[in-house]
Amino acid sequence: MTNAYAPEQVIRRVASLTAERLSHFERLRIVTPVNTSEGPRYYTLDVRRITLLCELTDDFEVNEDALVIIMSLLDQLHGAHSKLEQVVQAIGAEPSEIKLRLLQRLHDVGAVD
Amino acid sequence: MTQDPYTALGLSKDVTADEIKKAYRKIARTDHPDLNPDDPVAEVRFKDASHAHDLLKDPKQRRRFDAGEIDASGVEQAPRGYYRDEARRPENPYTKSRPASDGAPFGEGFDADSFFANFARSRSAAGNGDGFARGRPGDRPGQDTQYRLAVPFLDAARGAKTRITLPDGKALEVTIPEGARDGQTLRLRGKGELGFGAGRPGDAYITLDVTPNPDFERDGDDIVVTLSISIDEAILGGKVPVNTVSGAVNVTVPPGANSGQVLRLKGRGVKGRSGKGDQRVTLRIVSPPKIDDDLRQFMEGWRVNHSYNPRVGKETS
Repeated sequence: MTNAYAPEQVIRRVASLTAERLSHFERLRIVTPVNTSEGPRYYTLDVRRITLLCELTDDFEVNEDALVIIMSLLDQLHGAHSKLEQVVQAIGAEPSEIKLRLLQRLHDVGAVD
Repeated sequence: MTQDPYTALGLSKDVTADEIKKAYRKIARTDHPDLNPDDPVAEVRFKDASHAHDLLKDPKQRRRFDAGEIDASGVEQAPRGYYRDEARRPENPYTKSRPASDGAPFGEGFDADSFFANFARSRSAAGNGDGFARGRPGDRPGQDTQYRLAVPFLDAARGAKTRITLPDGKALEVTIPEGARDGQTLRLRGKGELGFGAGRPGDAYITLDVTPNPDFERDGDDIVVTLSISIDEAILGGKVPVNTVSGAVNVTVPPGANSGQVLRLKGRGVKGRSGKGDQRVTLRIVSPPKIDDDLRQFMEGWRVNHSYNPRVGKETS
């Protein structure tokens, strides 16, 4: 299972993170901890996301509106990517004649060079 | 060999802090792995600039480096790992704001048209879909909210009621359906933020995070457990109690059972789309903690006339 970190542990791990900053990210709804009976917990995924948010804020001086927009676009990109991956896997499980036909269709719509 | 941090940023030693930041940003724009998630080699290009910037962005550290007190390796860190490496997994809770029509995109009754419609629709557009066009100007539906909830394994298997304490101190009642899967998203209609005017409230989306259990494992709708049995139980067979997600039952171990043999308890698994799964019990024969004289003598005597080869066809050369 992925490691679950308490808020204090996350703040210790991410150098430029403070408690205020963490709760700010949560108010902006760009970080959502997991609710557990012991309180909020953060996984590796969240810690890396928070690291990125801190970098965008500090190194790029992204303001909070732009930060929300960037994360929303990034999430949509990753979401679309994993859906595409599922489609590719589903196609991969089909017999080769279907794959060839799909390749031809993709060619027709100009998706493949 | 560690590269000179100034070289890594394409700078000379007499630059200002501002120029360092600018040079780093310019590289990060094209090479930061999270800002270029589709470029597999971005990380390689970004690493040196990132190390260099980490060293030089702090004026105190930069002075110490310039004075030769520390070298460039002073800030070498363990490989950090980027968000994109985790973000690509299908269970990333941030990439799904709403459950697919029936949970899985390729489940039974898969409708290609609606899947591809879903695929193309941006999630923010979907949030404003119904209820937005109608009604008076000024009426606006409330925002949807997202939560993540850790669910103990057995609660997910059996179904349970629980609550989430919201940041504002209020609580949200959540009913976990029997057989809930890890990463499944529940939708609580009207439990998001209040709408404006006569707009309907938004929905709350709750992504479940099922906590593993040391005794049970889930495989689709089946539950998989390991059951330790004694040598006499293995040889003579008999009824042995075993835990299931819905309490203990007796499983019939056949005479002459082997380690690794799998017994199936029909309908003792988890509720799924097509009825209940089974519990699969993998047997594991455990010798007595202490081999006493009785057992040793019996086995020695028994071996004389009854030896058998359990490795037939797998003889060692």
